[in-house]
Amino acid sequence: MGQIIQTYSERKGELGQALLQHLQISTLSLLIAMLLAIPLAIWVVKHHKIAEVLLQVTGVLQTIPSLALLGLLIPLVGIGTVPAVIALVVYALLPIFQSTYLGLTEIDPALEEAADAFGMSRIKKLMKVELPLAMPTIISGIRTALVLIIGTATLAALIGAGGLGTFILLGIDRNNTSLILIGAVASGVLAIIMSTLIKWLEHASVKTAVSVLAVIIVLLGGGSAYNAYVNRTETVTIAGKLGSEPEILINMYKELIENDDQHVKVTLKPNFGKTTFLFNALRNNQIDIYPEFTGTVLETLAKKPQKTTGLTAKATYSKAKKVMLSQEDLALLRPMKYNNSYALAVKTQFKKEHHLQTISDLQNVQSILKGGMTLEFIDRGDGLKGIKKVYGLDFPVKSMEPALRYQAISKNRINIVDAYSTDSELRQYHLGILKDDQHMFPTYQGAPLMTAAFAKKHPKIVRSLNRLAGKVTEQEMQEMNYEVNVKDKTPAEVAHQYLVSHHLLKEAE
Amino acid sequence: MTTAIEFQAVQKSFGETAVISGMDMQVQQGERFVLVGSSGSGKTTSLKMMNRLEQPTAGQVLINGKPAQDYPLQKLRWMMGYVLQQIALFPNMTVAQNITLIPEMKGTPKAQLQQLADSLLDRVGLSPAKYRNRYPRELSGGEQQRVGILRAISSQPPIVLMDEPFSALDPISRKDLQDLVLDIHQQLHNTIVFVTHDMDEALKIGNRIGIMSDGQLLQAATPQEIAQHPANDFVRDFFKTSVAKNVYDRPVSQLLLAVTPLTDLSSQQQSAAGRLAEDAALRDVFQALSINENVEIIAQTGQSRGYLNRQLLLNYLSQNED
Repeated sequence: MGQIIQTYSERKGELGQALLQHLQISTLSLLIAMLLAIPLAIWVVKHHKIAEVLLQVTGVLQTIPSLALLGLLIPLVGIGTVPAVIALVVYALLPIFQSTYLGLTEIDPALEEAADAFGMSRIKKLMKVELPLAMPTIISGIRTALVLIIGTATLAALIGAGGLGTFILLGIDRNNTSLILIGAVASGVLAIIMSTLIKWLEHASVKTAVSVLAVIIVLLGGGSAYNAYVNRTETVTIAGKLGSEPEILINMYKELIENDDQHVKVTLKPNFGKTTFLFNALRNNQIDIYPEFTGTVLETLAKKPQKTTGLTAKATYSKAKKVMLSQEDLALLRPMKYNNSYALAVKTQFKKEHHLQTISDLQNVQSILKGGMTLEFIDRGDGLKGIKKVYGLDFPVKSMEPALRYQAISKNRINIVDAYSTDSELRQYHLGILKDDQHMFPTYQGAPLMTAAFAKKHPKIVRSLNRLAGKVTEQEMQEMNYEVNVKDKTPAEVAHQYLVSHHLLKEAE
Repeated sequence: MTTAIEFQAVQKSFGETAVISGMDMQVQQGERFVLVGSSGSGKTTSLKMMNRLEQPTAGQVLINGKPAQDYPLQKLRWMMGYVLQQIALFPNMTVAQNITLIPEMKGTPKAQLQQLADSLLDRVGLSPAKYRNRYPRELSGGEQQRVGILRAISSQPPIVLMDEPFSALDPISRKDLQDLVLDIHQQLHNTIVFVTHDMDEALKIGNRIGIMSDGQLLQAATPQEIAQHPANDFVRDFFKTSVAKNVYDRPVSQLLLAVTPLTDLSSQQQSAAGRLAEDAALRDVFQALSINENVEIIAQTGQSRGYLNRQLLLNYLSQNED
């Protein structure tokens, strides 16, 4: 509980922003869904056959898994708010359409007859009789849609649309329950508050309902207009994948760029999603720069499969750079020093005792090795299988959950684990990495990725970013991840500290 | 008198089913015309063809001499008040809003609407202060239909159509509302077309009655003519079976349809006569005639309808033995 409160007070600002984003996406989707579904339902009230078909169609739309729908939308409309809103609208259609249709068809025919007999026009009848009478049913449909939207909108974070889902995803990524809880509770509370607000509208007159709607539209419109206005000033947008490491890196980028050129303003979009989302965002010019790994370029982004094992770090980079330029017209700047790849790690004490430097050295201690590794690593061709083949090693290995294997090695149940070379746990549990002297693991060096056009237009920014080239060792990265993940320092703080202590910032005038 | 509503060879069928098979009818301006018949006889459909809620399949409906379909729909409907059996007050509007619905649509200023609602409520004995802001669900059935009638007459339409307006009400409310209709007619001199399946009600409301069966208008005439000269056996039987079962419970007004009362009494005889209202039951007439030689029957308007004596009464009873 204490931890939750602490996390909350640390991230109050972010939470506010996420809430606002969440609210904007949800309300916008709800309004669009209403504008589509309600007139449609009004129109089909007199056409029962079409109504049946539409009910079926909206019903089918709702059965599409939300994740799949988001995935299907990415190639069509890219990432960010647009696909998120489209997906949410699709989900909201059925409840709103169904309730409006039901509300209108359930009106006592005698009342319809009376309205006709008193010479009411179609519009007048709709506004004075039908809509007010159907209002409670319509409102209950809108509430159902809203609760659905607010819940589903947490998935928007997956495609870079932000919102409360950012907290949940970050929490899952960092194994931080407080973050997950804060995101989930905030989303739940938001749903309850909004639902109550709409419930209150149930007994309001059509006029009041329409005015409230108008106010919301004006507010939302004002918000977007304001955003557009703010974004008009020349800014550079840098995004990063989920996790502490990319967030530290993009904070370094920001500080380097802004320190070199006072006229450039950098906007950061941390925890923007997974690789493909960022890559698409870059190609669609929604972001300008994001840090990518050389190995990922070859493994994931290259259209033709690329050989990644047996390459030196340098060879990996030049190959990745060439692929990006020829395939996508993107520029991959020079990478930093550290290699965030798979690695084999042992306790530093064990390493010293047995004079271990490289993976090849393991052959001398093969008989006493007991491994605990992730299922993923054990099963990969460029994982344990490759190690056994390339290095001619064979030792018993148990599959373990990522967090468990670190605990197991600290308690000496096992003595060798797989790891990412910059994991903060290496620092936490005093583990040392064995050098991959045969270059079995693909190299994953971080480097800024941007469009070639952007690089050409902003040589100053390229120069600023290149100052990180060849800097930051694995140990330093581990240390920084440790500071953020375990010591709860902010990524900006950690980034600044590093830049200052390594004299990468120009002295302040 | 001019013709308010005229049917010329009107036919109406829903799909294969013929509901009205060739109907000619005239309703004069200022008349209280009652269409009476059993359910399925086509009386409600006939009514709905007057304000174009239904379209005739063949033939023509004339309103004030002009084909109904030649009027702009809204104008036609604003010429006709409409009262429904289901009452159908709009549950989302207050009593006052329901009453002033049509004047409001016609653009009457708001201040006048309030006044109009209040004066109309006063007229039917509902206190405006108490009722104007209530919602229909807070009213009894009888009160609701009072408001329903006010809603129909609020813009003083020349014609008022009433579709079995009181058949869902209790007998006491029904009698009150029947009186209200007569009262309103006397004040507004409008044309009322009233549909009912109840012969007693038809006799009370109508100064002309049209008897319908199986989509045909069998006879349209004054109650007296129907009582004395029914067009065929069906009309005779319908008239007989529809009036009150026990002859002693029938109102005097029904006796007056079949019997011509005396008017040539001497002033001495007149002053010695008893007096009874026309809606008194026949048993009251017996009682009065056991004391007095003659009984004077007073219409609701307060006018004398003539005198009855023992001979006339016995004559009527002998003709109407069941």
